[in-house]
Amino acid sequence: MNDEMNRNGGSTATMPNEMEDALTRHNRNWMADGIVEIVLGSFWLVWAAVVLLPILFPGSMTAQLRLVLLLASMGAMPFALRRSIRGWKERVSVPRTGYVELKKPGAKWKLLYIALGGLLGYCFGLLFSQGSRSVTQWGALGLGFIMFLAMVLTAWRMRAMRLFALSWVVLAAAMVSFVLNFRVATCSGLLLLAYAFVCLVDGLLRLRSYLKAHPEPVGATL
Amino acid sequence: MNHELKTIGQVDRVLHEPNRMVVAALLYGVEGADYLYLLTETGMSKGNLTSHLAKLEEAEYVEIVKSFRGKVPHTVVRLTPKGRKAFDEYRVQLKTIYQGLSAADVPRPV
Repeated sequence: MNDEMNRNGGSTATMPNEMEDALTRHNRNWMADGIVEIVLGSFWLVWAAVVLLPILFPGSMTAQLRLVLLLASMGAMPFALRRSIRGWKERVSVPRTGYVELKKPGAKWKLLYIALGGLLGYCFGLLFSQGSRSVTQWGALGLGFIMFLAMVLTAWRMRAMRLFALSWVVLAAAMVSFVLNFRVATCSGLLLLAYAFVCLVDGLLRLRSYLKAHPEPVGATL
Repeated sequence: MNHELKTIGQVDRVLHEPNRMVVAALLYGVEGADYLYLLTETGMSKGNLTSHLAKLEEAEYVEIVKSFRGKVPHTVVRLTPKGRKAFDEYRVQLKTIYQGLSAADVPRPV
């Protein structure tokens, strides 16, 4: 939109479509620096390590503490996520492209997030449970599909073609695990690893282009 | 006077200026944003943005809070409830006008 405005000498047409674009601009701005993806990707990577390391090294310490580590990292996530994203943004993107205070989600959204988190937790629980093998394997595939759809949705909202292309890695990981009949823990570990890989690659590339496009201002006032 | 023409006559003149409309639209989706964000997103000059914000503040559509982040001055702009309501009404009016225009036989731009 600002390219359009620059062409028009700082003024833009009052088309409703452009107005709608301005209304959702903050979503793309929030993700434009790649920080959210990098932090999320790091968390997924930790979870993938917690799940996969005991499989690779069965006698190690991580194998004994797997459940404790998984629960601790899941419990710490909401607090650590918020703090690390905010802290990093304050240092990197606020001095470059400004500060945006996002709206706090309403009660309905909070409930929806809690329900979705619970559903995701239940799916993971199902995968680790001793239930019927076919159910858990279908569960892993379903979970992979949900993760893929979440990424496609994010890519669509951000108009991000690269993220859309990378999101297929998650679906591929789910399908390969399913077709090759991997153990359930291996399936979920690979899914987490694929998700972390996509988030980190896209986030780092996004951060690199962001830093190139917005060099650090000297002596700027906010 | 028919309905569409009446709507055109009633459009909010403070918001019916492209730059101010964009500033209001950018602020509508968020709790607040700082001066630098608005400057980056709109592509306006500092003077231009300041004058448009002053107009919006005069109409009580935005509140401007000046503070410091460490030693750096920091200006946060928020849409007031009055500004939010005015923008809601403006969007409805604009949509009504555009619907009226698309229903009419208007030559398309080449």
